[in-house]
Amino acid sequence: MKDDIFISAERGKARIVAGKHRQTGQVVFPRPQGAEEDDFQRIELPPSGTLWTYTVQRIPPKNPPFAGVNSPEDYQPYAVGYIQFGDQVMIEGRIAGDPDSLEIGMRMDSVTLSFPTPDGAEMTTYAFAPANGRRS
Amino acid sequence: MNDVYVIGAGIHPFGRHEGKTGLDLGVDATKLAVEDSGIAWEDVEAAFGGSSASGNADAVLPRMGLTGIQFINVANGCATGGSSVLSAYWAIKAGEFETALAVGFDKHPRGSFNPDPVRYGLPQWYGETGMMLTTQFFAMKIQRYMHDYGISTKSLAKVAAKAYDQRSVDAIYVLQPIGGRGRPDPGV
Repeated sequence: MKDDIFISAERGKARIVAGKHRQTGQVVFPRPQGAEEDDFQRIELPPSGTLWTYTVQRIPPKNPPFAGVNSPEDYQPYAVGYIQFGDQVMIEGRIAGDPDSLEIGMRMDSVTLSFPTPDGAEMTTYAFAPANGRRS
Repeated sequence: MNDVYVIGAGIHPFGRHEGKTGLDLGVDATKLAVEDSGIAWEDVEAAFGGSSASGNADAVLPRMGLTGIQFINVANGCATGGSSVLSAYWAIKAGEFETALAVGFDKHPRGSFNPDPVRYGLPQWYGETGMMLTTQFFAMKIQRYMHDYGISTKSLAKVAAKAYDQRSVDAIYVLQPIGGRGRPDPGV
Protein backbone atom coordinates (compact mmCIF):
# COMPACT_ATOMS: atom_id res chain seq x y z
CA MET A 1 0.00 0.00 0.00
CA LYS A 2 3.02 2.26 0.45
CA ASP A 3 3.61 4.81 -2.35
CA ASP A 4 0.14 4.21 -3.83
CA ILE A 5 -1.58 5.29 -0.62
CA PHE A 6 1.03 7.23 1.33
CA ILE A 7 4.70 8.14 1.25
CA SER A 8 7.01 8.27 4.25
CA ALA A 9 8.50 11.60 5.27
CA GLU A 10 11.17 12.41 7.84
CA ARG A 11 10.73 11.78 11.59
CA GLY A 12 7.90 9.26 11.20
CA LYS A 13 5.73 11.69 9.29
CA ALA A 14 3.86 10.72 6.12
CA ARG A 15 2.02 12.29 3.21
CA ILE A 16 -1.29 10.86 2.05
CA VAL A 17 -1.50 10.20 -1.70
CA ALA A 18 -4.89 11.00 -3.23
CA GLY A 19 -6.38 11.51 -6.67
CA LYS A 20 -7.66 14.80 -8.12
CA HIS A 21 -10.16 14.53 -10.94
CA ARG A 22 -8.69 16.19 -14.01
CA GLN A 23 -12.01 17.78 -15.06
CA THR A 24 -13.96 18.43 -11.86
CA GLY A 25 -11.10 18.88 -9.40
CA GLN A 26 -12.78 16.50 -6.94
CA VAL A 27 -10.28 14.90 -4.57
CA VAL A 28 -10.77 11.23 -3.72
CA PHE A 29 -8.95 8.71 -1.55
CA PRO A 30 -7.63 6.21 -2.28
CA ARG A 31 -6.61 7.27 -5.77
CA PRO A 32 -8.68 5.17 -8.19
CA GLN A 33 -6.88 2.33 -9.92
CA GLY A 34 -7.72 0.51 -13.14
CA ALA A 35 -10.30 1.89 -15.53
CA GLU A 36 -10.66 5.25 -13.79
CA GLU A 37 -6.98 5.77 -13.04
CA ASP A 38 -6.23 8.10 -15.95
CA ASP A 39 -9.06 10.46 -14.95
CA PHE A 40 -7.25 11.36 -11.74
CA GLN A 41 -4.04 13.24 -11.17
CA ARG A 42 -1.83 11.89 -8.36
CA ILE A 43 -1.55 14.48 -5.59
CA GLU A 44 -0.14 14.58 -2.06
CA LEU A 45 -2.37 16.02 0.65
CA PRO A 46 -1.07 18.64 3.07
CA PRO A 47 0.89 17.14 5.99
CA SER A 48 -1.87 17.80 8.52
CA GLY A 49 -5.62 18.17 8.90
CA THR A 50 -8.19 18.35 11.70
CA LEU A 51 -9.89 15.56 13.64
CA TRP A 52 -13.53 15.29 12.50
CA THR A 53 -14.50 12.30 14.60
CA TYR A 54 -12.91 9.23 16.21
CA THR A 55 -13.54 6.14 18.29
CA VAL A 56 -11.58 3.36 19.97
CA GLN A 57 -11.81 -0.18 18.62
CA ARG A 58 -12.07 -2.13 21.87
CA ILE A 59 -13.54 -5.34 20.42
CA PRO A 60 -10.94 -7.40 18.51
CA PRO A 61 -11.71 -7.50 14.79
CA LYS A 62 -11.73 -10.93 13.16
CA ASN A 63 -8.95 -12.25 10.94
CA PRO A 64 -9.53 -12.04 8.03
CA PRO A 65 -9.73 -9.25 7.19
CA PHE A 66 -7.80 -7.82 10.20
CA ALA A 67 -4.05 -8.46 9.91
CA GLY A 68 -3.12 -7.46 13.47
CA VAL A 69 -2.92 -9.51 16.67
CA ASN A 70 -6.48 -10.20 17.82
CA SER A 71 -6.20 -12.92 20.46
CA PRO A 72 -8.07 -11.99 23.66
CA GLU A 73 -4.81 -12.04 25.69
CA ASP A 74 -2.69 -9.90 23.39
CA TYR A 75 -5.15 -7.62 21.63
CA GLN A 76 -4.37 -3.92 21.95
CA PRO A 77 -7.30 -1.53 21.37
CA TYR A 78 -6.55 1.23 18.91
CA ALA A 79 -8.12 4.52 17.89
CA VAL A 80 -9.43 5.34 14.43
CA GLY A 81 -10.84 8.56 13.10
CA TYR A 82 -11.71 10.80 10.17
CA ILE A 83 -9.31 13.61 9.42
CA GLN A 84 -10.53 16.59 7.44
CA PHE A 85 -8.12 18.14 4.96
CA GLY A 86 -9.55 21.59 4.31
CA ASP A 87 -12.71 21.33 2.26
CA GLN A 88 -11.09 18.81 -0.09
CA VAL A 89 -11.53 15.41 1.45
CA MET A 90 -11.82 13.43 4.68
CA ILE A 91 -9.53 10.46 5.26
CA GLU A 92 -10.31 7.58 7.59
CA GLY A 93 -7.29 6.15 9.36
CA ARG A 94 -5.74 4.64 12.46
CA ILE A 95 -4.72 7.13 15.14
CA ALA A 96 -1.38 6.72 16.85
CA GLY A 97 -1.00 7.48 20.53
CA ASP A 98 -3.25 7.89 23.54
CA PRO A 99 -6.96 7.94 22.65
CA ASP A 100 -7.77 9.86 25.84
CA SER A 101 -5.94 12.91 24.48
CA LEU A 102 -8.17 13.18 21.42
CA GLU A 103 -10.59 16.04 20.88
CA ILE A 104 -12.69 16.76 17.82
CA GLY A 105 -11.23 19.70 15.91
CA MET A 106 -7.62 19.19 17.03
CA ARG A 107 -4.82 19.37 14.50
CA MET A 108 -3.53 15.99 13.34
CA ASP A 109 -0.33 15.12 11.47
CA SER A 110 -0.10 12.36 8.88
CA VAL A 111 2.32 9.72 10.17
CA THR A 112 3.31 6.14 9.59
CA LEU A 113 2.25 3.42 12.02
CA SER A 114 3.50 -0.15 12.35
CA PHE A 115 1.57 -2.81 14.21
CA PRO A 116 2.49 -6.44 14.89
CA THR A 117 0.90 -9.33 13.00
CA PRO A 118 0.29 -12.78 14.55
CA ASP A 119 3.26 -14.30 12.65
CA GLY A 120 5.71 -11.94 14.39
CA ALA A 121 6.11 -9.60 11.42
CA GLU A 122 4.56 -6.15 11.26
CA MET A 123 2.39 -4.17 8.91
CA THR A 124 3.04 -0.50 8.21
CA THR A 125 0.23 1.86 7.32
CA TYR A 126 -0.49 5.56 7.28
CA ALA A 127 -2.07 6.95 10.43
CA PHE A 128 -2.65 10.25 12.18
CA ALA A 129 -1.29 11.68 15.42
CA PRO A 130 -2.02 14.88 17.37
CA ALA A 131 0.23 17.61 15.97
CA ASN A 132 3.21 18.42 18.19
CA GLY A 133 2.02 15.77 20.59
CA ARG A 134 3.78 12.73 21.97
CA ARG A 135 3.44 9.56 19.99
CA SER A 136 3.39 6.08 21.40
CA MET B 1 -52.08 6.03 -4.97
CA ASN B 2 -53.45 3.65 -2.35
CA ASP B 3 -53.25 4.25 1.38
CA VAL B 4 -51.08 1.62 3.02
CA TYR B 5 -51.79 0.00 6.38
CA VAL B 6 -49.83 -2.35 8.60
CA ILE B 7 -52.49 -4.97 9.35
CA GLY B 8 -50.39 -7.53 11.17
CA ALA B 9 -46.98 -7.97 12.72
CA GLY B 10 -45.01 -10.79 14.26
CA ILE B 11 -41.61 -11.14 15.89
CA HIS B 12 -39.50 -14.01 17.14
CA PRO B 13 -37.76 -13.13 20.43
CA PHE B 14 -34.19 -11.88 20.05
CA GLY B 15 -31.49 -14.11 21.45
CA ARG B 16 -29.39 -17.18 20.73
CA HIS B 17 -31.73 -20.03 19.97
CA GLU B 18 -29.90 -23.36 19.76
CA GLY B 19 -31.55 -25.85 17.48
CA LYS B 20 -33.28 -23.24 15.38
CA THR B 21 -31.97 -21.93 12.07
CA GLY B 22 -32.30 -18.30 11.06
CA LEU B 23 -34.92 -19.42 8.59
CA ASP B 24 -36.87 -21.05 11.44
CA LEU B 25 -36.97 -17.71 13.22
CA GLY B 26 -38.21 -15.99 10.07
CA VAL B 27 -40.91 -18.59 9.46
CA ASP B 28 -42.12 -18.26 13.07
CA ALA B 29 -42.32 -14.48 12.72
CA THR B 30 -44.11 -14.75 9.38
CA LYS B 31 -46.71 -17.13 10.81
CA LEU B 32 -47.34 -14.78 13.73
CA ALA B 33 -47.68 -11.80 11.38
CA VAL B 34 -50.16 -13.58 9.12
CA GLU B 35 -52.15 -14.80 12.13
CA ASP B 36 -52.15 -11.29 13.59
CA SER B 37 -53.42 -9.80 10.31
CA GLY B 38 -56.52 -11.95 10.26
CA ILE B 39 -56.02 -12.81 6.57
CA ALA B 40 -54.95 -16.19 5.25
CA TRP B 41 -51.48 -16.86 3.86
CA GLU B 42 -53.18 -17.55 0.53
CA ASP B 43 -54.34 -13.91 0.51
CA VAL B 44 -50.79 -12.50 0.68
CA GLU B 45 -50.04 -11.31 -2.85
CA ALA B 46 -46.35 -10.40 -2.76
CA ALA B 47 -43.36 -10.74 -0.46
CA PHE B 48 -40.10 -8.90 0.18
CA GLY B 49 -37.41 -9.88 2.61
CA GLY B 50 -33.79 -10.50 3.34
CA SER B 51 -31.16 -12.17 5.47
CA SER B 52 -27.44 -11.52 5.67
CA ALA B 53 -26.12 -14.79 7.06
CA SER B 54 -29.06 -17.19 7.05
CA GLY B 55 -29.50 -17.79 3.35
CA ASN B 56 -32.07 -16.52 0.91
CA ALA B 57 -35.14 -15.13 2.62
CA ASP B 58 -37.38 -16.51 -0.12
CA ALA B 59 -36.85 -19.92 1.50
CA VAL B 60 -39.73 -18.83 3.74
CA LEU B 61 -42.10 -19.48 0.82
CA PRO B 62 -42.04 -23.31 0.66
CA ARG B 63 -42.39 -23.40 4.45
CA MET B 64 -45.44 -21.15 4.38
CA GLY B 65 -46.98 -22.67 1.27
CA LEU B 66 -46.27 -22.31 -2.42
CA THR B 67 -49.05 -20.00 -3.49
CA GLY B 68 -47.25 -18.74 -6.58
CA ILE B 69 -46.47 -15.24 -5.31
CA GLN B 70 -43.28 -13.39 -6.10
CA PHE B 71 -40.72 -13.09 -3.33
CA ILE B 72 -38.08 -10.40 -3.95
CA ASN B 73 -34.90 -10.97 -1.95
CA VAL B 74 -33.63 -7.70 -0.50
CA ALA B 75 -29.98 -7.19 0.47
CA ASN B 76 -29.27 -3.83 2.04
CA GLY B 77 -27.09 -4.49 5.08
CA CYS B 78 -28.52 -3.37 8.42
CA ALA B 79 -31.32 -1.64 6.50
CA THR B 80 -32.58 -4.85 4.87
CA GLY B 81 -35.68 -5.06 7.11
CA GLY B 82 -36.53 -1.42 6.56
CA SER B 83 -35.92 -1.70 2.82
CA SER B 84 -38.21 -4.74 2.70
CA VAL B 85 -41.00 -2.82 4.44
CA LEU B 86 -40.42 0.11 2.09
CA SER B 87 -40.59 -2.19 -0.95
CA ALA B 88 -43.89 -3.68 0.23
CA TYR B 89 -45.19 -0.18 0.97
CA TRP B 90 -44.34 1.07 -2.51
CA ALA B 91 -45.85 -1.99 -4.19
CA ILE B 92 -49.16 -1.55 -2.38
CA LYS B 93 -49.16 2.24 -2.71
CA ALA B 94 -48.66 1.89 -6.45
CA GLY B 95 -51.73 -0.31 -6.65
CA GLU B 96 -49.87 -3.36 -7.91
CA PHE B 97 -50.92 -5.48 -4.92
CA GLU B 98 -53.51 -5.35 -2.12
CA THR B 99 -51.38 -7.19 0.44
CA ALA B 100 -47.70 -7.93 0.90
CA LEU B 101 -45.34 -9.53 3.40
CA ALA B 102 -42.08 -7.97 4.54
CA VAL B 103 -39.76 -10.26 6.51
CA GLY B 104 -36.19 -10.22 7.76
CA PHE B 105 -34.23 -12.70 9.87
CA ASP B 106 -30.66 -13.55 10.81
CA LYS B 107 -28.32 -15.55 12.99
CA HIS B 108 -24.76 -14.37 13.45
CA PRO B 109 -21.72 -15.92 15.10
CA ARG B 110 -20.40 -14.08 18.15
CA GLY B 111 -17.99 -11.19 17.73
CA SER B 112 -17.63 -8.59 15.04
CA PHE B 113 -18.72 -8.99 11.43
CA ASN B 114 -15.81 -9.77 9.12
CA PRO B 115 -16.83 -8.92 5.58
CA ASP B 116 -14.44 -9.07 2.64
CA PRO B 117 -13.53 -5.43 1.86
CA VAL B 118 -13.17 -6.15 -1.87
CA ARG B 119 -16.83 -7.16 -2.06
CA TYR B 120 -17.66 -3.64 -0.87
CA GLY B 121 -15.45 -1.91 -3.41
CA LEU B 122 -12.79 -1.26 -0.79
CA PRO B 123 -9.08 -2.12 -0.85
CA GLN B 124 -7.91 -5.15 1.14
CA TRP B 125 -5.71 -2.98 3.37
CA TYR B 126 -8.86 -1.26 4.67
CA GLY B 127 -9.73 -4.49 6.46
CA GLU B 128 -6.15 -5.49 7.27
CA THR B 129 -5.51 -2.25 9.17
CA GLY B 130 -8.67 -2.71 11.24
CA MET B 131 -11.16 -0.24 9.77
CA MET B 132 -13.72 -2.63 8.25
CA LEU B 133 -16.05 -2.70 11.26
CA THR B 134 -19.71 -1.78 11.30
CA THR B 135 -19.86 -0.76 14.96
CA GLN B 136 -16.71 1.34 14.56
CA PHE B 137 -18.36 3.30 11.77
CA PHE B 138 -21.50 3.91 13.83
CA ALA B 139 -19.43 4.88 16.88
CA MET B 140 -17.61 7.54 14.87
CA LYS B 141 -20.88 8.81 13.48
CA ILE B 142 -22.47 9.18 16.93
CA GLN B 143 -19.28 10.73 18.33
CA ARG B 144 -19.55 13.55 15.79
CA TYR B 145 -23.31 13.86 16.33
CA MET B 146 -22.81 14.16 20.10
CA HIS B 147 -20.19 16.85 19.49
CA ASP B 148 -22.39 18.84 17.10
CA TYR B 149 -25.56 18.70 19.20
CA GLY B 150 -24.15 18.65 22.73
CA ILE B 151 -25.42 15.19 23.59
CA SER B 152 -23.98 13.64 26.75
CA THR B 153 -22.77 10.06 27.15
CA LYS B 154 -25.53 9.69 29.75
CA SER B 155 -28.20 10.51 27.16
CA LEU B 156 -26.66 8.02 24.76
CA ALA B 157 -26.62 5.38 27.50
CA LYS B 158 -30.33 5.95 28.13
CA VAL B 159 -31.10 5.43 24.44
CA ALA B 160 -29.01 2.24 24.47
CA ALA B 161 -30.79 0.97 27.59
CA LYS B 162 -34.15 1.55 25.90
CA ALA B 163 -33.01 -0.24 22.77
CA TYR B 164 -31.77 -3.25 24.77
CA ASP B 165 -35.06 -3.46 26.65
CA GLN B 166 -36.86 -6.33 24.91
CA ARG B 167 -40.27 -4.73 25.49
CA SER B 168 -39.36 -1.89 23.16
CA VAL B 169 -38.57 -4.21 20.25
CA ASP B 170 -41.85 -6.09 20.45
CA ALA B 171 -43.83 -5.56 17.30
CA ILE B 172 -45.90 -2.42 17.35
CA TYR B 173 -48.14 -1.13 14.65
CA VAL B 174 -50.97 1.27 14.18
CA LEU B 175 -54.06 1.04 12.05
CA GLN B 176 -53.55 4.25 10.19
CA PRO B 177 -52.00 4.94 6.82
CA ILE B 178 -48.24 4.92 6.87
CA GLY B 179 -46.56 7.56 4.78
CA GLY B 180 -47.36 11.15 4.06
CA ARG B 181 -45.33 13.37 1.79
CA GLY B 182 -44.07 10.22 0.14
CA ARG B 183 -42.15 8.88 3.13
CA PRO B 184 -43.06 6.08 5.51
CA ASP B 185 -43.70 7.17 9.08
CA PRO B 186 -40.48 6.49 11.02
CA GLY B 187 -42.60 5.73 14.07
CA VAL B 188 -44.10 2.63 12.47
